[in-house]
Amino acid sequence: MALVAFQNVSFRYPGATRDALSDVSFEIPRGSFTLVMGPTGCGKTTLLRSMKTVLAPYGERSGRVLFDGRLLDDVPEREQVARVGFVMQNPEAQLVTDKVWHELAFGLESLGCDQATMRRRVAEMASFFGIQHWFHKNVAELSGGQKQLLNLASVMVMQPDVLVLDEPTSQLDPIAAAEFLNTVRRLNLELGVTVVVTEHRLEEAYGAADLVVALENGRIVALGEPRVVASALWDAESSMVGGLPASARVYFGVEGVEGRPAEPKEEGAPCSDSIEVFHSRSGFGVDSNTSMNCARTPSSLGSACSAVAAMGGSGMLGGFEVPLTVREGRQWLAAAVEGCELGSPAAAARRSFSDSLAVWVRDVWFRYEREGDDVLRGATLEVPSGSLFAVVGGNGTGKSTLLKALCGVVKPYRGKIEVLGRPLKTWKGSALFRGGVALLPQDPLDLMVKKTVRDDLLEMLEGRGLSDEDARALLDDSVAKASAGGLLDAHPYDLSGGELQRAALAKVLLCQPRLLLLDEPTRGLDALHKQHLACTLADLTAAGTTVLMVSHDVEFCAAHADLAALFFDGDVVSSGPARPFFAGNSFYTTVANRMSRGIIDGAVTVEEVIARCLG
Amino acid sequence: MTPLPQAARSAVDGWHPALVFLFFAAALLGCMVLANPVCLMVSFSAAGLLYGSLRGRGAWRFIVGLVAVVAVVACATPLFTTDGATVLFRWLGGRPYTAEALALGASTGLALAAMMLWFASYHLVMTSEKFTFLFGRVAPALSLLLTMTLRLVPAYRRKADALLSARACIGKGARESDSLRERVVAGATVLGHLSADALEGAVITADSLRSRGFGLAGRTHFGIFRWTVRDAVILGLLAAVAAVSVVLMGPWGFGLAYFPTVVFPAPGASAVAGLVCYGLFLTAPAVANGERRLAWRWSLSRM
Repeated sequence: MALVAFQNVSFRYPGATRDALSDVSFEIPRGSFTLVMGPTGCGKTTLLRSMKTVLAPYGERSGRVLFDGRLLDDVPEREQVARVGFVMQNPEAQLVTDKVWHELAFGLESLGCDQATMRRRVAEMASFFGIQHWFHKNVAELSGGQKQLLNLASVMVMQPDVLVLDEPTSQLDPIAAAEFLNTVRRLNLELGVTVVVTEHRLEEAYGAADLVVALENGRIVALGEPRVVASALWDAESSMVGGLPASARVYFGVEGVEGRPAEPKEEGAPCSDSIEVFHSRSGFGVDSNTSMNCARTPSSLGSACSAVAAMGGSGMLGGFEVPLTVREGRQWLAAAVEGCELGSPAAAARRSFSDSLAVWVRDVWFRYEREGDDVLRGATLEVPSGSLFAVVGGNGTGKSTLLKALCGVVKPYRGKIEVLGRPLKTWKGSALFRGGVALLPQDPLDLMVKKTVRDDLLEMLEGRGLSDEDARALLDDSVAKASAGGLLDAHPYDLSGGELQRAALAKVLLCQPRLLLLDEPTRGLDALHKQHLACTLADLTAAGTTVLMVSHDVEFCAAHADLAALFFDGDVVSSGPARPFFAGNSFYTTVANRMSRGIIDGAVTVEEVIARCLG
Repeated sequence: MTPLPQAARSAVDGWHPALVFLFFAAALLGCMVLANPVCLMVSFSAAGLLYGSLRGRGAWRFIVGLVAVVAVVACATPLFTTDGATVLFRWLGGRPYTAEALALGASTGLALAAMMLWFASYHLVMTSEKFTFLFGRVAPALSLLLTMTLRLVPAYRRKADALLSARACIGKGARESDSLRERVVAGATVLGHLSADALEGAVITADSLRSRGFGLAGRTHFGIFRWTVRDAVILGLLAAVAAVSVVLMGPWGFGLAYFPTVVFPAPGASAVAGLVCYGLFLTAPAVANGERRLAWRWSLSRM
């Protein structure tokens, strides 16, 4: 029996013109790992919050949510507290106490457990999560990833039946995010906890899921086993395809070309009316010989499919299912390109840059505290004018500090920095930030301090002695460049992550920077918003602005940067044109590259792999 | 508040919170009741020892600062009190500045400084979780409020730092704004944003609290502290020493008459014995810390 069942659930926020959820019906089987995906604002959060009465939003509701066979609203609060665990986005604000051990015990205290039980459960969970090393710490000392793990652990001590996670990794860096998702997966596999999760970062989560629910505008557009949903989304040409794992996108790109199956697929069609969760078929099976024919005969998807269906299982049986992980992708790709001629690597459209350097950093050392460790250790970097330069590297290697040093906010104790051809020290007062440098911080909200976006932008123009017309022209120009047009009258807190970033970018552009610095610009953005950002950055560099960004997002940097550098231990250890740079890394590179390494050499992005496959 | 490394490893940190609380309560009470300057000197020295054993070399700055506090209070008291027979000089049209008032001021200043020192150590040892452990059962909502507030302070500071540095990186930093007015406006803007941010966070925190069952009837309290035999023995010893010291010192310890002239009764044998006991009582935690460190050295040398 399903643990949670949604039956024709519709929901509308007070005053809203359309339903946030409309006629949503599906079941979450006990012990399953369910992924809810969809673009920003599609109703994912509303759906998840409906699974716990105290968190459910207020508004018009119809339909029923059943928990363990009972109407959720009839399940007493005490039981819901224990059995439905909920973890939200913001790692910091969810913590309620100041000590790690107290945070762990908090739920059990509320439930009125006795000391012996609390001691045992807290100890068990601390051990499972590897928290014992920081058990006595203040929560303020923890990193974002540790905070989110603590949030998860302090829900798990109550031994919930279902764990509901609302974009738990959107504010974490990729390494912390992967660790978090691995822990969730372990909970699912080792303890059998039912997991329901929403994610932007589908690369890891998608392959782990048993059941995927794709939402768009509050409706279920695809539902079922991950491979089935992936095929359905591809066939529906949904914008969500961009968020699928790279291996699946390559697969569809190669398989789907010309040979898009003509007949509507029975199994993969959008199935919003279906509450049947597990299809007997588990996806497309594709005969490797036919489908991988590089002479471009249409793939006979239909027949292969029925063959797998006839076997009634999920086996591969000589054919290939939609690959969801790098491993599956490699297996499929190796078979796919066997014996056929690969396209030659596209002549890299090398943009040539002028000899002038926007940033020249030589042997810079910096530490935050007198007794502390050096954060920058002889950092050396050169960024040509007009380039889009990406600095990648792990957490705490000093990337963000480097950006602050370029703004003169952080003062190195040794070394030289030149910005836009002049030593940093010779930029006096605010001259550096008028037509010189501007930094967009990691959390764009740090820049937005007024009640509306418009006020925030106007704040930048104060005291610059501009005439009204000039000011207006500058404002319009920045807003247009950042495509923040419709956001001017909104309160910054009401904007989604992507919108907020555009608003903050408009504010930063009012400095008219010739050198734009970006700190983790893609954090918390979905695939669509990343695409927007890439376009904006391309326009800026085309207009002559130099863009230097530090990022964890290897995929984004590989696809859009001109030049890239790897930062490690306070210094740049290697740098060069982006494509060869990422093709040369073996771990710090894109999924597409890891998937195609040794099979198709030198391909970095999904598009490249597809193009090379198709010759 | 972050316990310092020394504090984390100190022996007093291993005492049961109730014991720690009782000790500091007694030490503060001693500062108020045993107002004899000799007793105050003993208390101040013992407090300094304890603070030093917790902070290491960093303690000196604070202790030297407190000596300045004593001096200021001593010098200021005669300005408000004109009693006393020995006039040192007259000021402001014949207002007397007396030696007796100066003596009273010195002793008051000493009491104040001693209390501040005790409080400083108290803050290092009695961390918030110990406090909530002790009083959580009596006032659960209040102690949770305290815990959450304590968490907010460093969070606010970090957020403010992030805001200021973000603004500095677009040329809106404090050093750029030249006039005082601009600086005030910029400060107010950041402060306004901080409170907006806190409210935003509070909504999530409230959800998190409810989601984890805050407000359900029958809340219990989890403590990681256990009352051990050692705690009982230390409590017994300390209580005995304290009682003996008060009995032996008797009225001598309660202070002296400052006006019209200072009368300082010579301590008898029993008062001296009481004073020694008082010193033993007050230095107990510092001694425990020192002994722990020596034991460490010794066991390390055998590794």
